Amino acid sequence: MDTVIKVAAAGLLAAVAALVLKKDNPAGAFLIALAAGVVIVGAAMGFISPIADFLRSLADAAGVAPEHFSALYKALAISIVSYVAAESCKDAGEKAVGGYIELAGGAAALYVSLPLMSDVFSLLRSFLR
Amino acid sequence: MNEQTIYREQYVASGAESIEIPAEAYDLFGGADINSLELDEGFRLLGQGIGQGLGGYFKQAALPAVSALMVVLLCGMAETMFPERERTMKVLPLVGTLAITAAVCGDLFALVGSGRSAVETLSTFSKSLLATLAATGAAVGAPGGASARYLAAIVFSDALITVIDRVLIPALMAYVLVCVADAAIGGDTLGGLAKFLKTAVVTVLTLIITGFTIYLTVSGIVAGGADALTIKATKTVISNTVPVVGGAIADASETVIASTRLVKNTTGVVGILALAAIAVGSFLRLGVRYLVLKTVGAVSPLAGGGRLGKLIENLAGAFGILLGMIAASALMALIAVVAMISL
Repeated sequence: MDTVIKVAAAGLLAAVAALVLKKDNPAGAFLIALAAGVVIVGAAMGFISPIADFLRSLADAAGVAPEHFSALYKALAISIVSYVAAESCKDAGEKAVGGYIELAGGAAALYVSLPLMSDVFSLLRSFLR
Repeated sequence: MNEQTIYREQYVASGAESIEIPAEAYDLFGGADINSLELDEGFRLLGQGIGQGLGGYFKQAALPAVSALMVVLLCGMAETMFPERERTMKVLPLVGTLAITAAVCGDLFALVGSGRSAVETLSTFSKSLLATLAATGAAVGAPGGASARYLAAIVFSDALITVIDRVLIPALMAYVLVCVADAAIGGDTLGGLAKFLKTAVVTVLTLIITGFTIYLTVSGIVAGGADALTIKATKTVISNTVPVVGGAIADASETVIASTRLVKNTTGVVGILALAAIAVGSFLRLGVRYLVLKTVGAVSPLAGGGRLGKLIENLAGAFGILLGMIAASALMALIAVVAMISL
């Protein structure tokens, strides 16, 4: 609860500071917004990590194969990084750059799921034989 | 010399002792000699064997189900964190679909193989049993009836195996592929095709069972006259318990009940017990998986996994279709045996 209040307060402060600086120093405003984004997402990782650890321990206890989940974790991490970067670029008025980052994030997420696709394809092929 | 002695001598003279009963049939009876069991005692031992093995079946079914549920939880968590329109997020349901497919379909494909082998074992065993029963039937003065029933059983059994091999299993695989593709693409674009494939498989199975039952009934091979209340109760239980083709099997069960009062000779008892034991292992393995996956699919929307939950339910349906194939084979074999010993 404290962390959420601190995150909200930091976000509001950064937004006000960026607004004040935007007219005279747009680059500075962008940097403040970006720094706030990184700090806030970092704080959010503090909530996500224990959840991920819990799911991992649940998977270990159930004897679930880790390779089914590693692609999912990686895709989620890529989503978070590309989301923060793309939204920051859109905020700075660079919608096109934001779009390119989203495209790269999507491609990267598909790339990390290649081993999983390959496993599924081998499974189907072995059965069809 | 009493009735049982006569049947026992028939049993030996007809060479029934030489019928090979598959090993999995013996295991479920806890090592008891299946050749010397009465029907009631046999079913009691079978029930005990099933009870002892049930925990193991649930454990085996839990692993793919837990994997699938965890994928749903993870994707559901991610979807709550990001807005729907985020392009990168659209990849997550695709990755989730692949993860669930890898977790569940490996198990499904292995069971298709063992289900196919159970259908073949049922067919092979019932053919050797029916040959012996036909010889016994001819010996008691009904050679025409014995050969007619034997021929009907062989023809329908072979037809069922051929249809399962060449039509139903490929259709089942197509159904699984379509469901996976539908979940990957999203938007329920292929939902209609998946429903059509499932309906087609169910219809073919139902037609074969119904055709066999009608043939036996119309040709006067099996008499009616069983207690109406027993029939109604059994039909209700079967149609509610067995997924996919429960309705058709329930209708066919009336034939079985009508003839069970005629089960009195040793060969028939051994045959029925062995058939039940061969079928029940596969039946339970598939049935437990069907139930567990259906439950996971039903609770998935609560974890935010609507699309992935639908995929899990559809994959549970695939297990149900396989269950229906084995149930159909077992019931046809059982009806054939009962029809033969009613001579």
